Amino acid sequence: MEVDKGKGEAEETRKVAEADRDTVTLKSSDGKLFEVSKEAAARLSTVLAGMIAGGSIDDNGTDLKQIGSEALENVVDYCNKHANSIPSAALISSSISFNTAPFKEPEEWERKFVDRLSHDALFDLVEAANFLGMERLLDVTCHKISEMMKGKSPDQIREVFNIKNDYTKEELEEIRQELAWAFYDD
Amino acid sequence: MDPAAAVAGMDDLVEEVLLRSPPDEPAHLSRAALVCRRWCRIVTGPGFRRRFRERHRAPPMLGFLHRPLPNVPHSGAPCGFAPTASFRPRNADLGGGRYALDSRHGRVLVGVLPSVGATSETRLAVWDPVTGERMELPEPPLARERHLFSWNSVVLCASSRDGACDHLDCSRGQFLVVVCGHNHSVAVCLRLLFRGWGMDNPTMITYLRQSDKRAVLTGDVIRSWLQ
Repeated sequence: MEVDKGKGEAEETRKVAEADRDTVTLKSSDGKLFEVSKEAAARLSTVLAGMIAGGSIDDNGTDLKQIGSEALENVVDYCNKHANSIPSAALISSSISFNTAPFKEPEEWERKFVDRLSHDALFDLVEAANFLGMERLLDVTCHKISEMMKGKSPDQIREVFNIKNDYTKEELEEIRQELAWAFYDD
Repeated sequence: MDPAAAVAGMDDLVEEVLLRSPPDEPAHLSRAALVCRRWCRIVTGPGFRRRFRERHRAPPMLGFLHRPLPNVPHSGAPCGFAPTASFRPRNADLGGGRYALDSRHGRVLVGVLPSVGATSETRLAVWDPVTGERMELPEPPLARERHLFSWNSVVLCASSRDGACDHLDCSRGQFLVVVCGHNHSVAVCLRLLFRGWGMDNPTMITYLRQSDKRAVLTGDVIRSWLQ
């Protein structure tokens, strides 16, 4: 009983200390540690917000086994940049009901943020944003990928995504004839 | 695994990317559908159109339908669609002498131009410019009312009256065609209900004949159109 009580108190003390800190430590799949503003993490990621509220944040580094260090670094970088930028009314409202909210164009700094990413880093970041429930980051990264597809033929899109074509030649020809207008500028 | 291929293999992420396609460039989505069968299934799947419309709200201008002035049959080009984007309608040959009379929620009503004191022949059809489908309508019995001053016709979503439809994804559903005509003392109104594309003959649900043209009651939408 005594031991249990003591353990409970220690847990309580740890939680209070945790609550007092204004950053959280995240650990990538390859064991690297990253500090991120607690306020920004809770605001931008539904998953991290849930972990912070539920007290399952580990002082020594909360394990995010699905996310590699490069992607996690970008996530943290995005959160910190977001914390330093004044969130516009548009962003606040879009985080309320993201699934049906009309799409908001990325802001200038968000555009620069994704533009500097390598091809692989961009796609890794999309997965990380999806895993962490970071709706705005998902918005910005998916928008960038959509822009990359602009004006590209199905062949070129397959190259971008490394996708195998599973249509038959005849099927493709048939659809292309039906939608001839969509292929004028190939 | 290649990060891009990993994303391309997750349906929900592919949909997130495709939902951000520019709405004023429909070629973008058409090409995406040709990437592979799975992507085609995502783009044409249930709910994609609705979510796309929710995201982008006001639909973009892809072009406009035009017709000659009433009683001046040669005042417009015979082709009824003037594109303002890359999109081109399918099966746009409306049949000689027919023009677009009305258009709502993805359906276009075509027929001969209603004109003062002219024939009551309508040759109505409903056309979907995206799929190219066309349904020929039975000739409404306007000829019963002799010396009609004029007639006109509209195509409506069948759920419009109750405000039950937000029209984000109803273009494949039930629709109504309403034909109204009048002379100086009589107004006639005919409502035809279609149970969707590719169905058999429409159901004629009402045929109203009133002595006062301003008192025709066929629901809010039609009433405001008549007044």
